Amino acid sequence: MEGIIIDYPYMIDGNNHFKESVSYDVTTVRLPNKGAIKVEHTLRGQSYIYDLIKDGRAKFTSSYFFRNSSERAVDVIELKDIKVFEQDGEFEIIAEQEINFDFSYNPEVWPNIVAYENIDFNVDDKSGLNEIWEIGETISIGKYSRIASFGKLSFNTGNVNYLIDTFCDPELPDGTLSVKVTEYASEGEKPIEINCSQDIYDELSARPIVPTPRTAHDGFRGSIITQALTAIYAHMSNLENKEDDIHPGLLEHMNSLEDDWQSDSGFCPALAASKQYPYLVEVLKREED
Amino acid sequence: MAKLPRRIEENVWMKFGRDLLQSNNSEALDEQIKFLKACRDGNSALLEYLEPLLSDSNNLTGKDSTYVDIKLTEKEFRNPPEDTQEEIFENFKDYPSETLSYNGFWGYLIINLIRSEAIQASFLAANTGNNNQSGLVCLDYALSENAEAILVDATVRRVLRSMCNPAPRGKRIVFDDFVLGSSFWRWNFASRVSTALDRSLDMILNIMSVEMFGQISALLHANDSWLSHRNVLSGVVLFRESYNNIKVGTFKNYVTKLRFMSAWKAIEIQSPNDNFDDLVIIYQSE
Repeated sequence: MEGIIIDYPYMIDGNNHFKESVSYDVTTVRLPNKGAIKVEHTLRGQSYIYDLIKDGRAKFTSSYFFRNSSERAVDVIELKDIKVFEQDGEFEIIAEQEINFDFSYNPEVWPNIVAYENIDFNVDDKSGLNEIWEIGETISIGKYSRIASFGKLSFNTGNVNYLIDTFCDPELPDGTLSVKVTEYASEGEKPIEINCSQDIYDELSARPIVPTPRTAHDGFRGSIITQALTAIYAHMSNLENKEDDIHPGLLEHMNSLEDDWQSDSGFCPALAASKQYPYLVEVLKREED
Repeated sequence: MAKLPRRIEENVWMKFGRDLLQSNNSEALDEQIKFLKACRDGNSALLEYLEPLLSDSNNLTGKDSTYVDIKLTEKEFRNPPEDTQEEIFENFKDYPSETLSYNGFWGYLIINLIRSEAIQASFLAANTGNNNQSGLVCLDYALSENAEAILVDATVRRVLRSMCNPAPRGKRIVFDDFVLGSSFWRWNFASRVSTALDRSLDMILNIMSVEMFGQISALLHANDSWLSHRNVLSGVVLFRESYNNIKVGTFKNYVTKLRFMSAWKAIEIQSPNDNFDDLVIIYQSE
């Protein structure tokens, strides 16, 4: 798979292109008694994206995916339907979409902010950008480029959390889990299934996995995930065909690993899994010290 | 108010097929033979066989009619002519598209076509492969005294596929292996493209041949569902119209590259002509 390099500042969870004061948030709600969902986009903080939306040169969009029939649709919010709030140095744009559809289940939603014309601007202190972008630098963005994405409901980001379904199998002995990888699962499906015993399931459900463990429980939860990832990576590295017909999110995740999973030799699933949670290795080192 | 056509519940329909496909089990083989005999003995016998499935109201859902007024020969059932495809599309085009993606909807339609004598139960077993044998011949082979279990199983699988049962090939059978379903979806997508490009449906169907739709459908239901955005699919159709000699593998490669592009570019919003231009750029850069 070819790498994609985006040479303009765009906003997506964790890429640090923008100051902390700038954020893009989206919520979706199924409306009771109606075949419709409501999608609310909220952009906060002063930024070049804020200015573009206010001027109608960029727009909020939502792409919908109906899994059973692989149908997609897209809705765009026009300038007249956005609400702009500016007060005491606070900047906020809110826009709501109500989408009617005749499906009994909710679609997967991928919200974006898209440039609607070719854009050129010079970075200044109102652009909302982090220091990796220099003041005075000229930025060019092509028409229809995505300048912000809300990854929460996206299923092709490669974030492994979006790829896994976890189930409890009460018949499994305590402390055990099994992992099933369906690498050819289609785009809207989750390719990884973790079946675990009740105690493991409770542990995973208790609270989210935290980036830095504070307690033995945090460490335990992390190690469960590391164990599952090891099984997943072992499965993937044993595939004969490592490119065609692989679930795009899973492929994205595998390609994001530090080590080359497609290498015929030298890929160690356990080591690659531990690198996903380096704090575990750090904890072990501290124990040794 | 959206129509809610009567259909067999998806899990029930899947279980019906799976129960028939249990291998290495003599009881299952007996059941397979019983099923094929019912197909051989005619419509009433098959409906009688299906009675336990259909008489339990928990197995069915929906209230509106699931029927189309057609009568088909065996050849037409296996390869519906364009006018039959059009009748099916016109009859169901206003139904919720979710319904049209359910195997249980099409399975129930086939049962209704058998009930109304629009098709014969034996058609379900016809082999359109290299052998091109009629359903009756295939059933007679499978039911002959010295037929091997593997032949019985293969015939049962073929009958199930003809009934849009997902057990043999998975739930996406409705879009590819099951010909009435795939015909409907070809017309459905062609109709959307016709609107987007403001060109006649006939013209789009000519470009989006059964073969081309087969390629598109395979991509749509694997990793390239981006194609189903109207503007994207319309761009792809324009591209295929201009570059109709491209091999299937190469075409698939171009579509995959367009998907990569969708990571940063809103191809779902740009016009069909813009998507066509992007595909041409991909083509020329090869």
